[in-house]
This record gives sequence, C-alpha cells and structure tokens, in this order.
Amino acid sequence: MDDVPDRRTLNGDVAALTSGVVARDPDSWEELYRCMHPGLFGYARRRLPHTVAADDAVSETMTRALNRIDGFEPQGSGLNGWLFGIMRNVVLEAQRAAARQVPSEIADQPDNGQLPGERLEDLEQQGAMRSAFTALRPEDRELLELRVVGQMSGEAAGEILGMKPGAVRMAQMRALDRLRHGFQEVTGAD
Amino acid sequence: MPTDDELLDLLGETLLVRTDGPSPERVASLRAAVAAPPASAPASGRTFTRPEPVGASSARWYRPLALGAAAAAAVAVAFFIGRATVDEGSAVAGGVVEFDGALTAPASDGRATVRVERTGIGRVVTLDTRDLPILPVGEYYELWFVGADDEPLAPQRVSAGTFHPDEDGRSQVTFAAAVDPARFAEISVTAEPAVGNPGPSTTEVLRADIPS
Repeated sequence: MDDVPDRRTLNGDVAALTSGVVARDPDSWEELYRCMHPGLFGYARRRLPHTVAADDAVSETMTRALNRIDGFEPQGSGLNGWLFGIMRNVVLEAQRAAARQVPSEIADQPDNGQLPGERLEDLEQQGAMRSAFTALRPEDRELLELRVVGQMSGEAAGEILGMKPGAVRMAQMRALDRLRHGFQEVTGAD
Repeated sequence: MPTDDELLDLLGETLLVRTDGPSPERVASLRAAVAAPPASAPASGRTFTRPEPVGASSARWYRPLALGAAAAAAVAVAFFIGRATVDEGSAVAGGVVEFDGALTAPASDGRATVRVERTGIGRVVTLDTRDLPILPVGEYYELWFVGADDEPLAPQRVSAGTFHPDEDGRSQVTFAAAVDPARFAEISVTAEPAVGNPGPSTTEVLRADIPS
C-alpha cells in the first residue's frame, strides 16, 4: 500500500516512458500501467459504482491507448493527459451504458489499522477535504481532478473539457475558492 | 487560511486512491496485447461498455487474420471438426496451440470455434462464431473460461472479453487473456444484459469442454 507513486514526479516518470511506449515495448507499457493506475483508478472509482468497474475502466483505457498508440503525438499534456482523455470517454460510455447517474462520492480509503497521531491528523484533514470536494459542482470537481491528479496544464485540461485556457484559469480560481470555503466550514478554521 | 498550493497539495493527497496497482492477470493481459502484432490488434478485454459490432469498420484489421485463419483452417479442419485438442505442442503463428475446438449451442443453432495459443508472453484467444442470434442494442456476448467448481452464486470463471456479432451472427475476434486453459473445465459464451453488472449472466449460448 505504500508504493504509491509521488504525484509530483508522476509526469516526469511517465514522460520518460514515452519512447518505449510508442515503440510498443512491453516493459514500458507495464511501467506506464503501474504508474498511471492510482490516478486513473481513482478518477474512475469516483464515477463508477464499484471497484471492479473502475479497474475494468482502467484496463479498457490501456487497451484503447495501445490500439491508438501509432497515432499518438506528444503534446503539452503528454501520455498522462492523453490517457486521462481516453479514460474520461471510457467512463462516460460506461455511465451511458449503465443508463444511470453514478454517485460521485470519493471512494473511502482502506483502513490501515492502528494509526500514529500524525497520520491520524492527516486523515482528518483529508476527510475534511473529501467532504469539501464532494460538495463542489461536478464540473469543478472534474477540472480540479484533471489539474491535480492528472497533473495537466490549463491548456491540456481545457482541451479535454472544451474550454479555452483563460476560461480554465477562471474556473479553477473559482473552484478553489469554493473548495477553500467548504474546507474551512468543515474544519472550522478561519 | 490555506494557500492555493497547500489546498492543491492536500486535495492531491486526498484524491490519490491507494491501490495495490493492477492485478498480475491484468498486467499479463496488457503485456500480451502489446506483444501481439499490431495488424491483429486484440479486442478489448473485460469491459462494460457496449462493444462495437464487427462490421465494415473492423473488417480492415481482421481481413489478413481471416485469410490466415482460412488457410490454417483448411489444413486443420480434418483434425478439429467436432473435437478439441489440448497441448498438441504444435506451433501456430508463433504460438503453441493449447486449445482448438468447437463450441456448440445448447439452445440455438449458433456455433463457434475457439483457439487458445500460448505466446512467449501470454495467451491469445481467437474466437470465430457463426449464426449467433443478434442481441438487443446494449447487450453483448462474453467469452469465459469456466472453472470446474463454477456455480451461479459462486462463479469461478475468468472473462476473456466481450464481443458483438455482425448482422449475420458472425464474428471473428482476438483477445489477449491471462488464462491457462488447462486450469479450466470449459469455455462458455454467455449473453450479457446491459445492466452494468460485471458478473456472468446465466444465459449460456455456447459451450465446450476443455479436455483434462
């Protein structure tokens, strides 16, 4: 459970795999799968009804990526943003196929048993953040998720969401304001 | 009051779902798909989106496969009609054929052949169906490797993938699957409703025993 990649280095790690992935090197694809799994799985899990569906969505995303890799052109968001774009379509199709609205609460984290005080405090903060994030509008949640988990630039996120970079910046600023407000309400902080 | 950066850092920690990563089976399946020649790009694995029908759009990639399969079938037909073979040890298209047999339909005229080849990195499953009933929009067929103790309430089976036949009930699809057919008792094709349930339905339309 502790081998989660640091999200701040994810983009660099994934970018380093690009040439191997384009060359269809199995080791590079496996590494890409492992690197991207937490972010893609989390995105899917927050939108699909159960973990199996989310895992299936990640697998489907990787399969589609493999089938389209010959047409991949490295751009600002690189493989990371490209995979999130595919994942977004996979999830939308799954939701349409299921013909129902899926609850979008954030999936609970597994219980790690006894927790040291510092970790417990982290979890309390994350619990407050989870509540604040869940209370946001769906479009706010998706934008922040693409920017934070997908580590996309405003331009790349805008491509996926059909927004211009300036609109993305404004939307992110407002979403962050709402998130901060909700977080402070939950924590009681000033 | 948290700064934007602090807020985003905490949000990132919150949204990052801790997982054990993809399962070994899913990793093996992806590696097998990567190793497969691009000309015979595999169909999607276990999926819950409605698969695209095998028709004009997909004819391009499977035409060479069909020609190759037709040639191989002409040679193999005398051996494989109405029977299954396991671990013949014969290399076919770079892989070792572990299963090649006919699936029959308990309640319809549908029929199909399935071939499982072990490649250097995983299994490639080729399914060729004829005369399968056309399902309502949103429903699809699914190919399973079924364990000996499989029960409706305690399924012990592995999905190799989903597919749709064309308007004549025919389809030819290739799956990358992380399964060893010798560990399963039968191969089954079920009709799956469009309800998003990842479990198997009870509507079996084709089946074949895997000789032990």
